[in-house]
Amino acid sequence: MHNKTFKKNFYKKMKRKGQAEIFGLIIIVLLLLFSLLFFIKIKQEDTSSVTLRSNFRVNNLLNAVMKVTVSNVDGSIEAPMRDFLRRCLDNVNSNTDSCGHEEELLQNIFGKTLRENEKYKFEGFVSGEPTPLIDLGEGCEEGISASPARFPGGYEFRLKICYS
Amino acid sequence: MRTDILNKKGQLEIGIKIMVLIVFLVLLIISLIVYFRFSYSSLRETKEEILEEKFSSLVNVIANLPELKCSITNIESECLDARKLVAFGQVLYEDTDVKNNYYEELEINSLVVKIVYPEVAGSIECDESKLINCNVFNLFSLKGDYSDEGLKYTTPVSVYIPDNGKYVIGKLVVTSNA
Repeated sequence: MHNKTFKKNFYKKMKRKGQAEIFGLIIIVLLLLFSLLFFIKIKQEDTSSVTLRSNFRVNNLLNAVMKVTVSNVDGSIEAPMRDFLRRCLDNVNSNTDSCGHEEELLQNIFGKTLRENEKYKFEGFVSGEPTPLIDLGEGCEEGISASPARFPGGYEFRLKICYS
Repeated sequence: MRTDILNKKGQLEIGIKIMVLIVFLVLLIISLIVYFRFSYSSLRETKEEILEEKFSSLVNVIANLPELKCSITNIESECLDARKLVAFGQVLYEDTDVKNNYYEELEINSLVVKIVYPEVAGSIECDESKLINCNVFNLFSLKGDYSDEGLKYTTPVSVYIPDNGKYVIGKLVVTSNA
């Protein structure tokens, strides 16, 4: 009789102890999960300084692209790329011509200057037009933008580089 | 009889404690692995950021050196002058003291400007007599071989060729030890 009561009490105690330990383990697991989430959050927030520093490279590229001497389709006229782009924006705006040759030149230049893991987005605007008249590059939504190149007459060119 | 039960109780408790200890250790190891993985990746990111910062400022300094930068009637513009690039390379090649001074200031292994647009077939070094139809300006090399040894950082630059008055696109390539 005494043994039975002892066994009963013993198993009751063990059950309670087991429950308490499982509870403790659940708390540890929860703490670990929270710390993991905390680390992930901190990791995601700390990106601003990299963007700031890498801006230098994109600015250099846009400056070099605007200055580079290129020729027209038949090679009779040579001028800086910015002049060709301005003229082509005017033509597109007045529906007299397209920017096919200039776009081809730009694609060629970006293909030679950018790394394999870099994508680009190049846009050309004329004042008063909300949508870009030149829109080159695909799959580059979030990246590092250069300071826009603005020219008299309301011309604006933007370049963005994305890293994959 | 009671001793038997107490023995079993003791064994059971030891078993439970060992199990709890094993579970705790497993959790501890998992959490340590996760922690060190994050620490390692953040350390790597920090290293990359520091290098990016170092090279960015280095390339910025080099691209703005009056010895290399374009200037017309003392007004500087955002490009490198091909004639100045050749002259700079020659001075550093001929005068070891000047070369050592630049090395002390910049701490780089090599400095090269490669023309990428318009494209020139092969690798042709530009010199005083040849600024057109060439594509490599060797400016500085610690060992003299202009190799890509060490960490490499490149940035696009605009290069002005005074011989034909044209602008081309080049890559300023800097190599340095971390």
